[in-house]
Amino acid sequence: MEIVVGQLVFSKAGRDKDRCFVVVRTEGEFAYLVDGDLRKADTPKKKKMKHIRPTSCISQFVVDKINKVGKVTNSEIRKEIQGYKEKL
Amino acid sequence: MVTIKTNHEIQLMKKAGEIISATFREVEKYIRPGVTTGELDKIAESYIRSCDATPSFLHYEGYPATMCVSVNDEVVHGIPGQLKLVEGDIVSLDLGACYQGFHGDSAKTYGVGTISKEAQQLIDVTRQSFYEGIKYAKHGNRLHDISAAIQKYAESFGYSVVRELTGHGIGTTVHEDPNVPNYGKAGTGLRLQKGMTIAVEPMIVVGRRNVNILDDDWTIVTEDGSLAAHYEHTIAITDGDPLILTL
Repeated sequence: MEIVVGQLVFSKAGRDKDRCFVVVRTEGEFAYLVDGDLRKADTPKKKKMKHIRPTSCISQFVVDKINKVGKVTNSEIRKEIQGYKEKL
Repeated sequence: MVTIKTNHEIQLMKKAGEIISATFREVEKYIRPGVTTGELDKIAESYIRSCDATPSFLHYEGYPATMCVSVNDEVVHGIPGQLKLVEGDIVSLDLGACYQGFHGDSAKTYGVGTISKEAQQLIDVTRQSFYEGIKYAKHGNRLHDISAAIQKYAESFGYSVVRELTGHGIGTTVHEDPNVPNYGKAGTGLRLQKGMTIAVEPMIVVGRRNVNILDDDWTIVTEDGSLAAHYEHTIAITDGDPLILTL
């Protein structure tokens, strides 16, 4: 599955293994991840896509917000991740 | 949240779509002057249940029927009942079915008996605007590429696109993210990805785009009383052309 902006993903490797993030930017083989907690919106984690497990969920809110104003807030990211976990 | 579907899930949605398509073929036989919208609804419900599926709209957020049956200036969400169709009416049928937990959703507008050339053109343009839109429903394109193509085509005939209502994602629930507007700017919106399933549904009106809601809290009508038409299919995004699941 292609990894895209707004997608909910899990880290497969590193200290953040099994942690849930939202993709806020992609660049070649890298994705920039934010969870609004460990990794804030101002300092996203640059991670190789091969070290990411994508979920089947994409946040339309995050996509729209990034398209419109270029960024999302930490609380918004936390809310999206919480919403995703509640659906599981 | 937009949900990417597996091939198996898309196959279940295809089955739901086939039931919807067959239901339309069944209901179509009875569209003629004198039939009530309620009678059409009963035929649809009975047919869907005979296919081991359930009507998606019945009781959804309190909606009281299997189909939305919208006549002339009614855009969508008309509640079927005692209203008798008359020669020259146009009637939009919108219906959904759920099969093994997955939904399909589709809508078409029909003429009752002989209809005016103007009404027929509205129906034809609304249908074609759907096909103009889904030319852009490809992996990697943007969601609003579809929206912009629908708007451009419909407005080229002088028609208006209703903005208060949109298409939508669909899957284990009948309405999911993303919203799929019938207007917008190409190159914007969510990037389409293989496995997304969306209901694309242009709602096109002859006059101004403004709409009102009736006292039943469901029926949406054109503010200026002009005719409205509706055309919808559930589609799946693939690597190539989209798969129309409700044909």
